[in-house]
Amino acid sequence: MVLNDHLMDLYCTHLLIQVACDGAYTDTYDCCYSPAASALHYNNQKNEFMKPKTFSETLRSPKNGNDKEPMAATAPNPSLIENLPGQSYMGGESDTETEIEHVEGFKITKPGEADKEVYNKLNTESESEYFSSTLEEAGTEVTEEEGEGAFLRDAFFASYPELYERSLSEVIIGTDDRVRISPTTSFPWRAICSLRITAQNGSRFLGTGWLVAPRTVITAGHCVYMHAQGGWPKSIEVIPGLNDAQRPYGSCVGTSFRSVSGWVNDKKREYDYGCIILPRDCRPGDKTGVFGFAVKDNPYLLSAYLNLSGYPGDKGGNQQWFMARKAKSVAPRVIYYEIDTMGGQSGSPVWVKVGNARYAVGIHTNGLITGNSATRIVQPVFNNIQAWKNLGM
Amino acid sequence: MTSGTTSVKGVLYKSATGTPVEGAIVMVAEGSYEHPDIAAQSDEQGAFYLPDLRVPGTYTLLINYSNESKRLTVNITKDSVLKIPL
Repeated sequence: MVLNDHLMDLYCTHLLIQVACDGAYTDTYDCCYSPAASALHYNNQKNEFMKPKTFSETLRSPKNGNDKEPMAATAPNPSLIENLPGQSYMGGESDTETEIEHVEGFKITKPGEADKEVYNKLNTESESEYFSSTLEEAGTEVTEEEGEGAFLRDAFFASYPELYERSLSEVIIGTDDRVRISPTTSFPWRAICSLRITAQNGSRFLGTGWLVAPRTVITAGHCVYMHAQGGWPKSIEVIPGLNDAQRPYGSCVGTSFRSVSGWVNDKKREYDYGCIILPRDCRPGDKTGVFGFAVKDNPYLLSAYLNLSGYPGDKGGNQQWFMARKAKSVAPRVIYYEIDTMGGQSGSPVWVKVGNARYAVGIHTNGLITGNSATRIVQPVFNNIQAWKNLGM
Repeated sequence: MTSGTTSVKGVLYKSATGTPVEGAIVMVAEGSYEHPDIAAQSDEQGAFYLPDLRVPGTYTLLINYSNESKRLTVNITKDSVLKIPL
């Protein structure tokens, strides 16, 4: 079933209400109406094949992504691991009234403005106000043609029978290795996109993104704004569900990008996120379904199994590979994990699966031997993604 | 030596002929510091850029080309230009 805009709105609304009001979720979901969350943060400022990075429990903890608050570690288990097709494994205002000199080429982000949206163009999108009353945004899953029945649940649990009962209560333990996703025509895999980036200076890069609306692709900030390569890219080709030479949903070329001041102006890792708004005549999310996204607290993130899937360069950049594990630690705006990744997976969704719902909680951005990491979806990030989603409806 | 981040340029060429290698995928497999998990592709001149690497630092690069791969560890400074034979 392909949802038109109206139906999709209704569907999303229904899911939001259902999740927000279901008492069964109140322990793990922030279901309360938040006046702060409802204030949309939006403005019109212009502006061998080697083994992947793996980890050991004996390695030191990664650096905190934010020095203001300590990282937290440990935790109960609320989330499900993804089912795999055909696999057996499955800052405050200054007290002083000071001003910054206007100096050409010098930019500084004022306190509290790091999540302020920055973009390269505003020619194809309809801007409209959108108010949030929740910190969860449900995704949509269009009709499955192949369904997730292709997942060999029995094979997995034949190997790990002790996990079966626990899985029913939404607890599954992953393995150490990445698993290839093929085919990529079921949800959520088809909503994950290979990105072919042509920078402003002509240099080329590979990344990953994920759909949150028919025309909105979320990715890393460094995929849509490359400081040393001329800033905003010339273009990014978006290929949903790429599987070797197969492009089951075609491809679109995006030239309209969004990120935030904290990344574009200050290049801070904690604000490394952005999006691509595809042209009006290209709506892959209508066919693929889209990810939901949510803000989760530390205990939840530390107990959840995080799913990550993207297009690693060591596999040629044309294949989607997946892995899941618990978070290793969390910082106020960064999530660290021991999920193996490689170059090309920047921008991949890091999501939790709860029932049939999938909520992205992070955007994979960085690699490090002691812990790969994602920009965490916190309230300002959530608000921006929601606004960008609205642009791509 | 001052530290900071830099976009490192590299050039890939065939060791036998000296001709540039286009379309190879280059990525950081391991490094002294946290790095963006993006992959670079070499252009018709064999040139590629690895953005936002903290320098000075030691990084292990993985290069995928024509169904082959090469791994090498390099010390990178602010003005490094990597000339890599394949």
